[in-house]
Amino acid sequence: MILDIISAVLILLGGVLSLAAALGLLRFGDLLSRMHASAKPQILGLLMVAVAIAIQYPAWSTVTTLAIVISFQLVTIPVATHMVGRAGYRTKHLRRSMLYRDELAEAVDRAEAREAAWERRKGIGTDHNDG
Amino acid sequence: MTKGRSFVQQLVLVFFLVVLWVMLWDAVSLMHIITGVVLSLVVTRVFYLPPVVLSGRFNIIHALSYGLWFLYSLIIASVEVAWYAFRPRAVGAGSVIACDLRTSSDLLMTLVADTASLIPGSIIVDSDRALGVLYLHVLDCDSEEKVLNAKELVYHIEELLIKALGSHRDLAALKVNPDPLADERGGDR
Repeated sequence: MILDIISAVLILLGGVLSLAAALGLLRFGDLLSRMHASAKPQILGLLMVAVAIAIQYPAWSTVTTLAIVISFQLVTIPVATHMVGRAGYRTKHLRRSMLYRDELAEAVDRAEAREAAWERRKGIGTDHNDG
Repeated sequence: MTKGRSFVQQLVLVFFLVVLWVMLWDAVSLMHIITGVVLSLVVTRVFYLPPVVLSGRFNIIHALSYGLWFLYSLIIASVEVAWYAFRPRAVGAGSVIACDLRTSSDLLMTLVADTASLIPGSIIVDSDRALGVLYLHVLDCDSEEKVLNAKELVYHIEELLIKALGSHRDLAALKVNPDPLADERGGDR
């Protein structure tokens, strides 16, 4: 009875967190913010649902399967969000007004300036040789 | 010596793949173990990965405290991001921050990036492997104070992980530079 109530509460909380993920996906302003919503609250939500299932069916076979489900989620979600976020940033699908500070752009500017200076120096060198 | 070491690492990899296989079949039997060994040998031969360089150090107490801290911050931050989604006011501007990590090991950098990604509120946008810099996007981060807090979180993750499984060199780097934000916080920015 008590276990039933605990798992019911866990499933409810997990559902609320998944709802939050969906709402955030709709409401957040730009791609990078939306990536937060799509992946994050839902990890804890899935964890709660998995614990609820384990409480209801306390057998080794269920627990091991749930452990696999969760560990694969933990391993794949950062990669998936990183790939989408990186692709979005590199193809400039972002709203500058939604960024307060961008230290990556500063680093890219510095690297480009360095490269330009190097090219210029190299250019002068080869010019001289070719002539 | 390197050959023996990589053989042990291969063995560990195969062992965990067999465990995974047995877990998938939900029952321990001789047949599952044999097919698991065969399959994981084939998989490790066909999909060859560069061996992960382990530091050879593992502190179980620090690893446990890292695990507990991770669970705790996962819960706190999940509630926070869920609240951003539910509250009437729209979410504010984010920031892309750069974190110059003290470690130079690929494994630790990956683990720090993974942890920062899993804790809601930050995702990895890019990384500079040669310099050991991570670039993260932080949700709702529109003041200097919030930028500093986000950086502090990443350095805290790094500190916990170095203490759990960093090499002695990483530990020394941690001791030399215990607070990488000191000059940024003290400055007028």
